[in-house]
Amino acid sequence: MNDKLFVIAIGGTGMRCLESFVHLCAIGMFDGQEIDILTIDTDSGNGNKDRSEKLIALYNDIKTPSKDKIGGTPNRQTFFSAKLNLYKFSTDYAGNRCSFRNLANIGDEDTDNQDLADLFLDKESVQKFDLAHGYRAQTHLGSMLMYHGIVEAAKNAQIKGNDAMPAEKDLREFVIKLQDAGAGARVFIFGSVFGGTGASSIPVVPRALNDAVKIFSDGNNSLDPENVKFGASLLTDYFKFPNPDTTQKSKEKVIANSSNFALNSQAALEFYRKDPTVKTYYRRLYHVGWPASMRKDISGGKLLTGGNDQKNPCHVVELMCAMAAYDFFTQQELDVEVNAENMPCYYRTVEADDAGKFFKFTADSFTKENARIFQQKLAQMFSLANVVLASEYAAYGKPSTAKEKYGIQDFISRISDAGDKTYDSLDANDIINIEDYLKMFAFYINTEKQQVVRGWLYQIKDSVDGGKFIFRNDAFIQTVADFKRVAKNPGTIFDDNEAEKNWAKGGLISSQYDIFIKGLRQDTQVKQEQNTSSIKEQFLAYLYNAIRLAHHFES
Amino acid sequence: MLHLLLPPSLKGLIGAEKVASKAAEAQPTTADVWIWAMIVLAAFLAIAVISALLVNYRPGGADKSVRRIWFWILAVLTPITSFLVNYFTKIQGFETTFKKIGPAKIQQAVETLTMQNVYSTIAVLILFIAIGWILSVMFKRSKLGTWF
Repeated sequence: MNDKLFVIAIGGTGMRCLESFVHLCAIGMFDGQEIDILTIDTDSGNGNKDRSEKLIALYNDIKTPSKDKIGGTPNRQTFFSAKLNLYKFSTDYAGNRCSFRNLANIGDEDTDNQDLADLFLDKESVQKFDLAHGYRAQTHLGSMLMYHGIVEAAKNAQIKGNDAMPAEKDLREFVIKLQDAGAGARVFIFGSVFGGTGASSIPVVPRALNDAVKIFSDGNNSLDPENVKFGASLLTDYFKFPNPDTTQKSKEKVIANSSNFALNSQAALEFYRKDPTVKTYYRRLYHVGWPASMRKDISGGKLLTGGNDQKNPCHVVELMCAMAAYDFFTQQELDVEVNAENMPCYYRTVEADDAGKFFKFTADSFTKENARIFQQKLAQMFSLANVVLASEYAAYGKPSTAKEKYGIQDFISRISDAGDKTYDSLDANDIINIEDYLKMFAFYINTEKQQVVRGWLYQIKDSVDGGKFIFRNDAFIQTVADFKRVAKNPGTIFDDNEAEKNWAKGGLISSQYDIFIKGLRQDTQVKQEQNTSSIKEQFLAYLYNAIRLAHHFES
Repeated sequence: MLHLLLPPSLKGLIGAEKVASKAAEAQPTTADVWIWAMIVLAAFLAIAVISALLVNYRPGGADKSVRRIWFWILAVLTPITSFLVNYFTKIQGFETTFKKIGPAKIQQAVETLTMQNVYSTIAVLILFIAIGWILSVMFKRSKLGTWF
């Protein structure tokens, strides 16, 4: 598949899905690809956005060999095999642009515009609430403003050139790349449909990007929907938070109410079914949902409209959306006739236990055709995290000394002792970056509170809430007391019915760690087809091969 | 029975000759000393290799120190053992058994053997370290590679 890949993440939920997508890139699901990512939000300080963008920055730091090669190069059959380019766009709702009335410049004396606005938007609430934290489930307002925001930014970037704002420049770079990709572009949009920025933007973004292309090309180019392929995840509500009280409603004027999420989703989906832009541009729509009875309160007692404190825990449906993008990007043919009246629908569900209370997620739940590959690659990163964080104590942040090496430094030391000095040039920052990623991926220990701080994979597992997520339940550390068990057997992550995929146990005179290090020193080498272009990428490939050997996965 | 008819002085001479002949047959040679030294060397090298392989890799790299410590302990024990084996099984036994027949001749043989024992002890020490180093280079990627 040779198409150029683009991802657009919109709103808080879109950022959550993007986080899962970046982890898929890290485990190596997008071999050989260079992916351009645009984040769109109205809430530039949103915690979810911040976390996802920091993750991408860390990903790039892990791969970057020098300042002129940010993000390294695309590789194959290794960790972090995709090259990611991040562009950040957020609408400007600061200062005197903070509300619809200010943006539209509607004064009390402007009766025609006022009357028109009053037809669609409540004067005292919707027209006046602070847009900085998003559109707060006002999708009719959001669609209009998001389209306006993108087109305005495109015009500003075209007029101001290098003097444009960073968000405008990023948008221009992304759009120009999209334009240059032409017929070979596949664009996947992450967003929710239960009422926020995502729901507002999904129907208008393709049209807005098309208009932006026209602006940047002075009308000479456009995005041909026959050639540029759009897909999107439509994620319906999967969490809840307490209803706002009268004080909050009075203060914020407009505030989202999770009780209305299902209704919002229904309205959005009905709208998309008939919307000309959606029907014209989108080849695939992936509708992902979660049972209403299993939705959890994620507020932690605080009702937030947005901002940096809004950092929702990860959820398995976000991983499903990320895998929807994988499906969209890896299908050979997206042979749906645009504007077709009757699109085929495919359904997928997840096996539950006999009582219907707990889900059993396997790799097949996320992808049928490439379940084995997905399972293997996720397992490889999981066991790497276990051996580095648990067996090598990196979860505790234990520093290496001249005599005692821990974490990744120990691996490098052992490879060097075996005669291969290639990785001695990796400095402390390079090592810290990989370990920091593994902590974000899996877990680390808060030594003051003696608590396990759960990373992405652990949060995904937690969201299944008593059910099964691909691996054996006890492979996930619950308390610090579990730490030693996982440290002793970092490669035992599959259930007994798939025990052959675990690392060899070792027996009386050996251990899993012992066997792994033996393989790392003796039997591992980097292959040319892995296409590495720097010492950092080569080292990641080395680790990938060593872990793969430990799991006895075929090449 | 004929020796019973011989005068005592002649009996003594003939007895001494027989003992001398037995002593010559039983005397450990220089080669014996060196062969036993090499056997002890080979045995201890085998113990060193096995002990290195039995020490598991451990986080933090403490296993490297453990293998090195064992290597050097065995490096010290090997020549000591070689010297003692040769001394107690070869030299001392011969000296004790045959010193009656002629202290001067036996003493010379014992001195020669003792010198060879010393030389072989030194050689065993040097060979142990040298062969250990060669093995650690040849099998650099294995646990033996951490000896040096």
